[in-house]
Amino acid sequence: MDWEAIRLSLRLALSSALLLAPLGILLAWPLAYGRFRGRMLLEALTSMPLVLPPTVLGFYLIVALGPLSPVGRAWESLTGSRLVFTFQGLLLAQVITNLPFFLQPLVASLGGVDRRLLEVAGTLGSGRAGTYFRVALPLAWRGLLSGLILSFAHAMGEFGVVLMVGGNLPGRTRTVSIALFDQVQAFDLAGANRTALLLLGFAFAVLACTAWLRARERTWA
Amino acid sequence: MGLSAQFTKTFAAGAVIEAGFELNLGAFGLTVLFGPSGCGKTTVLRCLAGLERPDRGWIRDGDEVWFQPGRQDLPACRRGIGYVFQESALFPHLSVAGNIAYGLQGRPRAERQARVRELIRLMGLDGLAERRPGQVSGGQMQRVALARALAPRPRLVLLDEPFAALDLAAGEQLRHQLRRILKTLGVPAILVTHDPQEALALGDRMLLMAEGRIVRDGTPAEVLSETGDAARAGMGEVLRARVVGRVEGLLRLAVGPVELFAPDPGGEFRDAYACIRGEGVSLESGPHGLMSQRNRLPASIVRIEPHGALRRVFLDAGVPLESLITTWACEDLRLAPGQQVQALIKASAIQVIPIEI
Repeated sequence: MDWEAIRLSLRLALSSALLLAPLGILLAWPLAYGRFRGRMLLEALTSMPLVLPPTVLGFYLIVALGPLSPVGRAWESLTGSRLVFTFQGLLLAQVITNLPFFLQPLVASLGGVDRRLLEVAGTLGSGRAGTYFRVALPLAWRGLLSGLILSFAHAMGEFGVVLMVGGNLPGRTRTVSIALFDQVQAFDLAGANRTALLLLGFAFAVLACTAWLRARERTWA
Repeated sequence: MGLSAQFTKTFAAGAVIEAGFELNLGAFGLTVLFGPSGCGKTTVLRCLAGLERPDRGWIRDGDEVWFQPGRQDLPACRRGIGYVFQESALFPHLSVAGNIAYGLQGRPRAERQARVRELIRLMGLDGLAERRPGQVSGGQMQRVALARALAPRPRLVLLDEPFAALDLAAGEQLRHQLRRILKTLGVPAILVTHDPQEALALGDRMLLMAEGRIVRDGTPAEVLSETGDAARAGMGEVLRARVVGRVEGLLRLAVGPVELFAPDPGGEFRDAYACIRGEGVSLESGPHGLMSQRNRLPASIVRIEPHGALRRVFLDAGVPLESLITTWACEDLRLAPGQQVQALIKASAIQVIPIEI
């Protein structure tokens, strides 16, 4: 078992979920309650990673984050290190890739919050932000938790974007799913079997967890 | 200080809601917004509260414009209006105290706690502060909703059929206390209802809505009598009455210049409405000798109208009355306008609606 890869994956997935939470919470607001023209576009944009081949996403991320891009240059002058083929770059890529996995359950939960409760909050002096943070979000906590778990789990197993942006550097960017790829390439089928089984069991546990949360969503209706 | 509203809201399906009225916001007063279901009462409230946007017109409080197309649309949170929904719509993630304190955000902790305690006592919610909304009864939930709306000291509170979702006893109990509570706190209110008895018992003023417009404005008794709404609701003539005595379970009521006996609905009150249904009033021609008999009044006939197989005889007995009698009786007595008759009112046909203080 490639423990180094497992540790790296866990660290990557956990950090990306923690970074995603504030970003996702801010983005979910206009997606759930916004009534502006560009809402559909925002929805399409944030959902893109769901259908886009990871290689396409990875390619654009390399271009956008590479040493020749403004972002890459700014980062390099700020920290002295590059974004591509590093953990930081990988993390940024993961946040973007996993955004829809966080947003979708949260936006669905927010949409299910009784509208009158939001209206009452307004009549009690809460502005839009107050209503969102004091009423909508606490009542959509199951969606929030589902989103966190799902994006964490997806980050654990992400392959294409990681390979494109991170390369395959042991201890720095070689995650479990890439370790599995290496094992298969090296005809280490017994090792590949163990790694695959680990990821399988993990994915199943996570999905069972979110299904349970969804089933209980109605108890507060 | 005065709310002035004049607006129109058109829905996509074609319904048009129109409202125009003024309301004094300085002191307590309970205005009933009355009308059948679906006539637009709730829409009027929602537009006032800022939950719905009118298409035309204006809403303003004195010099402060709340709504004017293209110029101002003050969000609900800045209008200072309390709103109580038909179903209490309590925040399920907060305790009873948490719900009541919701609108007190930003005030010092001690002040918040004192206000919550005050309202809990006023609403009779003692001992329930830490309960969750799911752990209290329907009547208590609606009290919490009312307390929550009143806690931030709104300049106006809007009550959208607050008793409709309650069982009869709980609704009755809250109804008895509502006026006293609002009066104690000095908060003017608009109450939406389609129950004429509720309107009579609670309202100082009534705005009558029909088909999306406000068509009458007056005291509840005036409006209900003038429009025939009282008659349609089976209440007959609605007369202002004062209790002058209680005899053997009956109330002695002074109604204008006459005295009537009616069944006592119970409770402490002095002012009431006496609703006299035409079915309970029979007529006799003949001598005026038996004046001492209870609920027998000399009256003159104002006019006679057909009413299905019956005749509706409008009377002046010092107070307006009506009598529903058969066409035969009408012919036997040779009734005609201007004629003097005796009106006999069955005590059981008089419904007494106490006016809440």
